[in-house]
Amino acid sequence: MKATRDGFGDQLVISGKDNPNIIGLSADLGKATKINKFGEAYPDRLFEMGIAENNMIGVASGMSEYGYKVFLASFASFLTGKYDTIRCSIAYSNAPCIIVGTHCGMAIGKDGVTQMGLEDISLMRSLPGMNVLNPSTYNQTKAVVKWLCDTNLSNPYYLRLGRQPVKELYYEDIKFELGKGIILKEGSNGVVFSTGCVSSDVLEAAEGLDITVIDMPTIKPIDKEIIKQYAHQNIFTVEDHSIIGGLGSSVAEVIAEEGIHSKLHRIGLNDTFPESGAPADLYEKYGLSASKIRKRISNELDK
Amino acid sequence: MKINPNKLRKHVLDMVYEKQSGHIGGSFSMAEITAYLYNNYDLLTPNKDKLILSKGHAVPILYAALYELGRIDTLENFREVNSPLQGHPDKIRLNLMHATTGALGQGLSIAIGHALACKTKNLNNKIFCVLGDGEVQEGQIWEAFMLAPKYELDNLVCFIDYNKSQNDGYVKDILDMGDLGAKIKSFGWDICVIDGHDLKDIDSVMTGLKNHKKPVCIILDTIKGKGVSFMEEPEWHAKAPNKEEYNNALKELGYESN
Repeated sequence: MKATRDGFGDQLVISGKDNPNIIGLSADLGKATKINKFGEAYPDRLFEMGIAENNMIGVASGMSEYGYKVFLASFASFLTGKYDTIRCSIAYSNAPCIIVGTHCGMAIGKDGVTQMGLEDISLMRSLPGMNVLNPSTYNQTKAVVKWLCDTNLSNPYYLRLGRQPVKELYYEDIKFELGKGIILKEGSNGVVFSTGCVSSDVLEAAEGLDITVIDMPTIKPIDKEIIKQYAHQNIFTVEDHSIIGGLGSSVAEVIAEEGIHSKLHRIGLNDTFPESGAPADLYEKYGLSASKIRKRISNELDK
Repeated sequence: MKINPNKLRKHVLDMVYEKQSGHIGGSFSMAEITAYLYNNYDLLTPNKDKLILSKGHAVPILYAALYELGRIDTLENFREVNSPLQGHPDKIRLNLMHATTGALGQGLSIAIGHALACKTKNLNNKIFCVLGDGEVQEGQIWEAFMLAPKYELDNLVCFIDYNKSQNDGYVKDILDMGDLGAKIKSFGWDICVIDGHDLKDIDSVMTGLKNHKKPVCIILDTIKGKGVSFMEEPEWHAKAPNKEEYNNALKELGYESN
């Protein structure tokens, strides 16, 4: 099992080989974000900014003016907390940088709330022109990073990554398609939309239940078509993030606007800060363990 | 054609009077450096010199310069809907702006990004950034001051429009910055202080910039509202003149009243 942050580090080294315009910026968390792997491979293309994320965001914006594809990496919480700088220097400036926020969710465990990205999707999603990606596995992350490196980007991206190793759900050579959900399992009694590193737990939770499971690596632009097609009854969303403004809200917006009359159950952090603890204990306490997710879903299906 | 600083002030006065909105004081204090940079550097060609106005509220003075140079057709749509002349610089709507600014404290970081990229691409150009002396109260500015010497950005020149006043009053009363030059010098920059309204002073420091290894910060000793006696007060940071004030200001700048 490997983490999505490893998929980022490994693919950036591969994609960086033939593309000298890929550069990285780091803010003293290069070992943790895995951008240091890129720096070890191409020392003259990784720039260490020190513990100064606001400045890093501005430098990324300036460098992107010269044909560089800039990946700037730190913890999701530290980056997206510099909201006005991202808003003005990246989003409103339409600088096509890739903001890489790792250590998302309470799955990081013992370091506690200050290090957890828990509202980052919500913050980034509301910025005009900002795309939001939240891959679920190592292979999917590699596909996403390859796509980001190979595509001529016309606006900025937020890439949300996890620390914890996760079960692989995809083949090695899958292709990423922006704005497309992926069906992991089909059933007839409802649908679970899941995003990020929790998706393998969701699949485990849905084992034996007659329900569809859809992985949503792109939060923005959201895959409206797949939501319209599958969201008819018993709709669930699961994310290691606040239920306010994340995947749950994104799905809610689509079903409300499409006039889909069905109850939506958002599973995630319910307007609360979690705490330090072993990841498994936190997932159990805050309702994100496979057994808790399964219980929540089957309770509804049994009604 | 050489741009005349007082002509720029006249355009700024017209814009702000017509729209009853905009920032006169901090535009007037920048008239000489704006004229000097547009007169002596190539700020109009891609991949050449860049001017990043971190104190974005002073953008009317840049619009005035671009108008004088014939690069924008009219100043009449300043701050109007569908106009490239936004209230603060917007490089998407007007590509003659080299950065989108206005939220104070962000421009020097962007300028460092330009300077670093230009160095790695071996472009032989200059990156200029203009900060306000109130603006340096923003923490991000000091993150930027810390970083630039690390990469020996000898292509970067940072100006501070040291006009001693900010939105709510004098800098010394709001949050005194003390010996600003000494602070920035201690971060590893070369510092000089000159009369920001003396084009000869500006010219001699700029022509002497060759062969320096460090980033340079030039503190421009200026007067907010310079050029119109009664506007040389902090209250003219974002105040629009009435008809009488407008006519008196025009006269002081050496123009006939309308």
